[in-house]
Amino acid sequence: MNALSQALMPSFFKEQEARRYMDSDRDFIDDGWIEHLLEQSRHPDRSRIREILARALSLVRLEPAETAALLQIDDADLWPEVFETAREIKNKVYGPRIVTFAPLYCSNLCTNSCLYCGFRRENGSASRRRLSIDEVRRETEALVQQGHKRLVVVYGEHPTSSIDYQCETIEAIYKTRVGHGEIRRVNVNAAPLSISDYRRLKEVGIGTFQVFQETYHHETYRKVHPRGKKADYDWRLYALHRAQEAGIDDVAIGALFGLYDWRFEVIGLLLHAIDLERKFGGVGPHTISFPRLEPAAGAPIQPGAAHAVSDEDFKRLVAVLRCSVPYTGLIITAREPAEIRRDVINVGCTQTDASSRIGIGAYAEDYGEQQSRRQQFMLGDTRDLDEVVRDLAEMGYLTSFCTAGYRCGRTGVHFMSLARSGNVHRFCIPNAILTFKEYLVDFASDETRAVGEKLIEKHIRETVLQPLRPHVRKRLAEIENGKRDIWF
Amino acid sequence: MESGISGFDAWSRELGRGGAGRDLRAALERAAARAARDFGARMWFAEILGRRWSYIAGSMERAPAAVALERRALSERIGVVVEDWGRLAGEQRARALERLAGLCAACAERG
Repeated sequence: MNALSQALMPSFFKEQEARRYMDSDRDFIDDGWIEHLLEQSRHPDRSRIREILARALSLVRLEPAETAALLQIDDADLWPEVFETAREIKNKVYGPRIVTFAPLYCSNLCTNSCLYCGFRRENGSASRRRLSIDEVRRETEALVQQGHKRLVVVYGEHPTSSIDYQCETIEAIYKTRVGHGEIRRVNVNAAPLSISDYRRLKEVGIGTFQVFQETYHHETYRKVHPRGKKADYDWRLYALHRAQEAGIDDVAIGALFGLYDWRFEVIGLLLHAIDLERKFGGVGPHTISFPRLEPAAGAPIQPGAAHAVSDEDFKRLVAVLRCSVPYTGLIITAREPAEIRRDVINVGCTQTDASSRIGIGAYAEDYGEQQSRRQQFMLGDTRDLDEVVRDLAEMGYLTSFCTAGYRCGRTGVHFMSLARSGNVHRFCIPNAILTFKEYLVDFASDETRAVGEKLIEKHIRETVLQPLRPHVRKRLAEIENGKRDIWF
Repeated sequence: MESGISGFDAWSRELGRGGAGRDLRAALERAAARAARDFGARMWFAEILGRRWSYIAGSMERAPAAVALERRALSERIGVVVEDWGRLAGEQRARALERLAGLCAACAERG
């Protein structure tokens, strides 16, 4: 279905697609129930919290009442225990690796009016543009030359960002090669689609499709999305149910923290994950994102509004999510400054972006300063990839560019099964090491390579399972000798 | 447990019949389950979508060996990932791949 026919899609069919997953004609977010749950959970006692943390450590997905109790901890002494539990869960399930990607904004034309966004259609000062396919290639080349292997492509909700355009850009990205470099996985952040359009995206081999609900609180949602297609709460809430039905089995959810109470949003994310699990054979979201509101040009809502999330609460919400959904990746982005990223990576994040430029065409132009009229919001961390990789390595983390899973059928229910049985270590850590090595050989500065090689050696000795060590060493030697894209 | 060439022939014949119905997923599930039960082989099947191989059916319950994955396209749309051939050797592996490809083609023809 192209953009025009999508726009003309009879409202009856659209409503059918939005409502088909509802239970008793209601969506799964009951605001009153969540508020009541949070109210009931106030002042939890220490023994209850320790029971919940012990259950979280057994790597089960928590129930909303348990997550609510964690969110309502008011005993300052207990938070370090939550952080430690979150750190242990991350190490058990994911090990010492951080998957790294870059965003590629293809268009900032948008028909929506989101009150917090620099791309809102009323923002007359925004410099509007949609990249041509040649420009997409040039942006991709610039990212490949930095060493990136994974992208998330971002499109505004606009007829010019039609499903045809999305498919063409993704195909162009996959075809682009520079020397040894190439993009091996393209994730997509776009407006909710119909099932038929999701099927088309599936055909071009995307990685994950992500749609963030922004806020799960119905009334707030209505207020901050006054016009445009995005004003339809349910069409967005069930976007990823439709994606799953179309066969896209890696989907990603998120909320924009700062629009409403952060505790409410965490419960909303959990309920979203549970509903996906219930309706799609136990397969919940592949990742969760939790961006905080950042300054955006021409946006009526700016950070510091009533529901601003402090740095302290931000760390808490990440740790509670880690305890609540052990098998879902958590993404911390360059919206946050470097020191915050370092802090929250330790309590459970599994993915991050690096060297991000979110102005349209910004990578090929290589402009240094951020330009508010070209960006959706302002970034907190503009360090280049090499610096981020080195920083993570100094913290003990392998930067993983691995894309093996989605190229050998470890997707959806298969991935969840491997994660739940504690088996992702067996191949994800070796694959992280191999892709990290590729980066060090092809793109890293001397300083980063020195830190990185030591880290690889440490993790081969301490983290890789003993029987796999010789196989990892053999493949590392093959990479030194010029072989690329090898994995377990 | 069936083993050796006679067991393989039975499995091979079953694959050759292309499964009982139109449901490719069910047929692939049965093929993987039997390969695991009779020969200790571990394999799963995926839909090929550009670079993405999206899981359809097959082995996922055992701890993976994760040393050498063999990834083969059985048709334009369906691929198999073999993690462990178990007791299937040389010629049997080639025949198994051939039969699995035939099974995919038969199910595709039946719609």
